[in-house]
Amino acid sequence: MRWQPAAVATVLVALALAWPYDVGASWTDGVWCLRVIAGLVTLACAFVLDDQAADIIAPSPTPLRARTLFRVGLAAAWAVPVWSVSLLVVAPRIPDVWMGWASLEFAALLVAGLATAALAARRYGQSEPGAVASAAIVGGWLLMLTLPGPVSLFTLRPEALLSAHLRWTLLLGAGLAVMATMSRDPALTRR
Amino acid sequence: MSAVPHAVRGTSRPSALHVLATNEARRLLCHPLNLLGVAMWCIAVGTDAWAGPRPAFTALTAPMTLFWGVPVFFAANLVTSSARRAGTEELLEGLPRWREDRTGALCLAALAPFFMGVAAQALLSCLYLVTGNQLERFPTIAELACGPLNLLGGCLLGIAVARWTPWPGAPLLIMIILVRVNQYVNTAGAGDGQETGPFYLLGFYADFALWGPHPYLAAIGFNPGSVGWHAVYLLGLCLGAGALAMLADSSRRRLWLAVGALAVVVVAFAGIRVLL
Repeated sequence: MRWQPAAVATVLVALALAWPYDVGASWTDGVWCLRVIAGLVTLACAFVLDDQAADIIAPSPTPLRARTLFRVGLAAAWAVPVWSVSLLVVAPRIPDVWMGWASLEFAALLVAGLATAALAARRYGQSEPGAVASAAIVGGWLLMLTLPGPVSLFTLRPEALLSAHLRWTLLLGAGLAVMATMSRDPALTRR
Repeated sequence: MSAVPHAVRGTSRPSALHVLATNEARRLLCHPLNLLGVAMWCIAVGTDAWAGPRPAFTALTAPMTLFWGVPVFFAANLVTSSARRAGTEELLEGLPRWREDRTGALCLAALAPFFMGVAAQALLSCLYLVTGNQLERFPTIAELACGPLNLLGGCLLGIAVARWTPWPGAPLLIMIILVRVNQYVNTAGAGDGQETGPFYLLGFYADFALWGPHPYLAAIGFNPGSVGWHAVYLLGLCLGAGALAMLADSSRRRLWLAVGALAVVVVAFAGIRVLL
């Protein structure tokens, strides 16, 4: 499993948190800082399913789901503390309600990113899906930026917050469904 | 998708390069990330272009770099590195054309997204004329050229990064650095109430129209600076990226080092003219 993307992402997150900010700046800057951190962590986690030996261990008795969940668990063991520290550092700059909203966005992005990597690995036979998945995640992030008002995800308008975060929840659910499907062992047959 | 081109044994080098370049151009244009870039550019333009004079000008000159240029960088990088990631580079070494020819073909294929960007700008301009969309003034050729030039530069840089840094995550890191540098030069030295600093034309993504007060729809003029020299600056960067890509594989290193040196001179001269 690649650890280098996580190491680089940790350094970049630390830089983002340590960067001097204007004390009088709007709370929206703090929210965007958290969104950038969520994106960096997601991009690093896209490499967690990279396994040069995937084809060799594929016939092993350990199911694909167990192997995938183990790797996802390792990624979460790194990502969750990084996110928690980021929340603690940025918390004084943003309204309290955004601690929850930003965490929902982070969870949805992370699961969607892992689902993209799992899709590339299982559906397209990539033993190292990180390169493709990370490029797809960047494309997805930009797509979310372009979405217009009624379907926008990266909104800051108070009247649109609830509907936007419902859409984030849908993204989270879709990501979990894709991960569950793509971690199903191809050798499994119905009896 | 196979990376093996059609058999061109015994043909002359220019015709082999033409066939290879056509194949690579087709792969690049049909790549999902390029198609996603086109779709995102259409969404970004479609939602804003008819909202007012300022958004109309910005839609014609700015969004192509971010929403299309970034995905096309990754598309070029993935197409270039596809053989290495699939473990089939050794098979390609047995073909009659060298890796230098394949890299050259990829660099030529980078013109395909450039021309696609030019066609998209032309189509949007025609739509503006047909629908009578009001702008403060129509963009100059240099202002219109910056988007397609960034597509060309993004492709060439993606190829160069794939050849020089064959490690997972390297293109991501490069793009993060480029975005941060662009963000910095856009705002460095900006005074109170100013939208951009004096160095904004040294970046890739430069919005030429002044946004003014909320809701940012009225036409209130343009940011200062020579956009013509900015276009020359971008062309110099494209030349440099192409030279860097060819330097990785070519046996004619002095030629590509000379081209690279010329590119540095062009970029430096144009950069100074932009600031004056």
